[in-house]
Amino acid sequence: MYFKIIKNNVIRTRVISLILVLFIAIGTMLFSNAICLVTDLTSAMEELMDTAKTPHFMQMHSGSIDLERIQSFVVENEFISESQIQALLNFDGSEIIIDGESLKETVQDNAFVKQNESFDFLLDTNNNIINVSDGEIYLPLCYRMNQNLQIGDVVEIKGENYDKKFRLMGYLRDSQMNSMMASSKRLLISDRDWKEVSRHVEEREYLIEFRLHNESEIGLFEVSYLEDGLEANGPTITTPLFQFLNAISDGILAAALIGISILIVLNALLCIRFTLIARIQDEYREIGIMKALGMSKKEITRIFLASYTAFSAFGCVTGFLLSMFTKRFFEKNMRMYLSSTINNYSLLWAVLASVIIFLMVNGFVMLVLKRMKKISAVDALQNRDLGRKNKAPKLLSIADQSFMEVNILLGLRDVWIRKKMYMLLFFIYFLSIIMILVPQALAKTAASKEFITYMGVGECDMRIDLAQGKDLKQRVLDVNAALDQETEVLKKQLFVTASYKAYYNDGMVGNLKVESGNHTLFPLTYQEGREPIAENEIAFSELNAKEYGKKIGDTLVIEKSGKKKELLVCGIYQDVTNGGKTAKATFDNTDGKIMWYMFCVSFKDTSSKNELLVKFQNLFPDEKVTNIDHYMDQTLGNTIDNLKRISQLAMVISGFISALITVLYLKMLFSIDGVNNAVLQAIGFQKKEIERQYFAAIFTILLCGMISGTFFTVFWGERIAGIVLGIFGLSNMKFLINPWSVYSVGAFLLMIIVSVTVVVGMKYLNTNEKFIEKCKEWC
Amino acid sequence: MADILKAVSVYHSFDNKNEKNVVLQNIDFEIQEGEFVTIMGPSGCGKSTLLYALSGMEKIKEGSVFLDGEEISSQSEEKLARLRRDKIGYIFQQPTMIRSMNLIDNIVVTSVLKERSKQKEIKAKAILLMKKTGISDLAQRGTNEVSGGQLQRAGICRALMNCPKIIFGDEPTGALNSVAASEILDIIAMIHQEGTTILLATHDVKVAARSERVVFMKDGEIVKQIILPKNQECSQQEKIELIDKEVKAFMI
Repeated sequence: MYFKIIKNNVIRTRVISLILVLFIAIGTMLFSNAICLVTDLTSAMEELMDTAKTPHFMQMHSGSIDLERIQSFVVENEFISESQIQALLNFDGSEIIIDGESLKETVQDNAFVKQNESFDFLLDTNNNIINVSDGEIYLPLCYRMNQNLQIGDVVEIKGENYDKKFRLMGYLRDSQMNSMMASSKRLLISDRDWKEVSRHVEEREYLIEFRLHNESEIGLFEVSYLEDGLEANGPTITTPLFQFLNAISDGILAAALIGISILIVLNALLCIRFTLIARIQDEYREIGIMKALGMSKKEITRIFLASYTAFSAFGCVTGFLLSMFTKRFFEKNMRMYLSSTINNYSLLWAVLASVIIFLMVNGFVMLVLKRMKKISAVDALQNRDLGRKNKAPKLLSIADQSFMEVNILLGLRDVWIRKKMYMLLFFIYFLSIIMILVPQALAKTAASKEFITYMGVGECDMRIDLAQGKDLKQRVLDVNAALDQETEVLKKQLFVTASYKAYYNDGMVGNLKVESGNHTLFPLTYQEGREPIAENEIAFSELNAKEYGKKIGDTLVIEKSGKKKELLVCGIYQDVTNGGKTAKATFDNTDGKIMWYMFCVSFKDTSSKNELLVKFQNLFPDEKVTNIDHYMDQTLGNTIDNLKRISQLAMVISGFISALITVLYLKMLFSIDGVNNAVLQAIGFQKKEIERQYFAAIFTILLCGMISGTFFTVFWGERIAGIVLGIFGLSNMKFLINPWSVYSVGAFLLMIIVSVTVVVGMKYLNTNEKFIEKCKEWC
Repeated sequence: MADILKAVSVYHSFDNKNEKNVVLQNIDFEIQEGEFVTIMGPSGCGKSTLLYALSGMEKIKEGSVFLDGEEISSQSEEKLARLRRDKIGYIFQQPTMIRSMNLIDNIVVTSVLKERSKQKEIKAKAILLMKKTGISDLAQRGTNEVSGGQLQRAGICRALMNCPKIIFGDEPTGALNSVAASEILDIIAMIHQEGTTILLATHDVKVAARSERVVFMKDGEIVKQIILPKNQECSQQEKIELIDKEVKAFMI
């Protein structure tokens, strides 16, 4: 009997049944993929970090190094199980030629390294430790994405007095620096080649790496390292950050998949609700008859449930099977960067995900069917309504007002009287407009020039970084003098970063890197408070504020020139540079342990920016001269592209969902209002006049949804975006956009989509059924 | 007097895959302006369908229907809707009201749709009609807050609002108790006396006895018509007996 019921239902509602199954299948597919991605990502990351033996604690350091002191620290420290120091041979991008093209545009620091002996191994794409022969080179995987390279191509170091060629043998997985968010990249060559190259490089950078007996003791170890005052001229990175960097891009993808799948399943549930309510309305009398004949609620429910159980089962199985085919596509990036080994349990997780969706759909159907409880046999047989109230305010009285066309007035009255029913449609439009506007605003904000101020960098045209090395102070003076002489320079500011001992709230000592200078010239966007102005003020990056447990108005004690100095926390900003742990002040810090200098420069005429950049790159070939636009492109380029793609996808999905739900709603309305419309036609209303009433009602709901969605986006959209960007440490952001261009275009698009849908939908839905038949039904 | 309604060789059937169900055939009949006619016949004889066909709600398969001199059977849905709005009043068996409107809104809605600028006059007319039919104090009530009889009165008011050329009534007292039915018939008689043409379908001889002419139908065909004597010539009871005799004659 149930098979017959299902068959009849499918035949009767072919299109809606298909849409439902499609929604459930796509939702299940994406959800299964997301769950698989999360489990596979976890195991792949574990595999990579285990095979590579990623250090638990890594201190980057540039400048001179006291090997003996570090050795004695290693001997005395009880936390350490293994230690090593890897020397990096840094070359400017312009000196590295890959397949005939230099890397001068890259903002990444490229360093030639040899394979480590005991841990932090560089792996090939099968996760085997690379054994590289003389004359060969392995490049980081990110170059495989960016360049059109072939194995066997030539990679060349081309310095002023030195030239060396390597043959590309493959790509390497670097458990520390795989991510584009890591600013350094390691290029692997043989021990002998490394020795030869090292003779031509004066400055070294070091990775001082430790593996601990117990990974949970990283915090304690970090304190002991800092307390001993060991080399720390560079960022410190520990296991959690390595995990974060490795998981970030696929993690976002998984989160996006989960989000989209939830949205699609939610839509499937809404569709089910609409169709079920419409069906209950359609079969109102039949339900009454079944009840009158003595069928229990359970038995009637089972009849209705049968079709939806079949739909959800079919949808879930299809979705699960589809996920098996699409899995590779979603895991492509992960398989390339982390591991291609398949997690044995991921299939089980995919099944579980599908079962969850199946149960969710069925549970929801049961919930909707509860409304049948309210239908009494007598009510249904006498065609009494499901308790509809019919009071409209006097303002909408047909007999009393004359300022509005009757059909529009009837549409508005309908919205007022059936607020509850229209609420769902309102909610869909509200969500759709948010789904259109937030990603758009986010993509436009990320692409705007000002966005850099959220990343811990002031808005400027050029940045010159001077790292530790010979005659550092003289080099700073030289750069300063050159900038003073350049007439095209509009403004410049020197920032000096020095490290100080700083006290935590519990009296423990930490190592705080403070960047000093005038922070009002190239200001950041502050999450709270403002930039430091007075000599006793300090601003913290969000991560440092969390680590030191400081809020605005708190005081921080640091050791400066052997004395304790109290500083007032005046601002908290977001930062993605230097591991996100920075601080800014204005006091003179030349007495501290200086780590690096940095000039921020902006030009009068930005059109000549590129020539000026080249000029300064040529003037100071040993310094890192960065075009901020390139910096943005390379660190955020992928993210901006992804955001653009997501915003376009979100627009398509929102438009599709709005159109679909509008059609379903219309279908439901025509079904519910069949008799009413028949009466209207019988007393002389034309079909197009009735359609105008629906148009007025839906357009009113659309306007309400759009206006409230836009307001919501204006006031809360930044917080929603902050939830996503919080992953990058940008939890509190402002949209940097022209509201009209973003909000009006999105709203206009949705308006067009819904309007066309209503007009076309009504043409096909408000049909062919003769109104007189409905009148006869009633009489 | 001129014909307000004329049916010529009307034929109609409801067809499905396997069979043809003829519901109207050989219908030739006319009504003059100001006349009060009832159609009688057993259930399923085609009374309601004939009413729907004559009022332009059901499109006939063959034949012609002329309303106020205009052929309507070939007109578009849009034109027919206008016709129903402007020239026809319809009273259904069940009081078919828009449930989301109160009584007065239900009564005025088509008039306001037709002439929005005359809102005040429309409302005044509606109140006058409601007074005449005894429901003036129920104007603001919802459709579920009044009795069936009161709803049917509101239905009559609605049918009268646009000064129709003709009022069709499909068993207008069929769903009412005898007291309410008698009151409704009084109202219909009053409307007729004011000059409105009326065509009712009924199986109740008491209703038919109020009219001037009775048309008898059987199996989709008009089998007989009788003109009833005027009120001053015979009593209501005599009319009932006369009609009853005819009904029995052709029902057998």
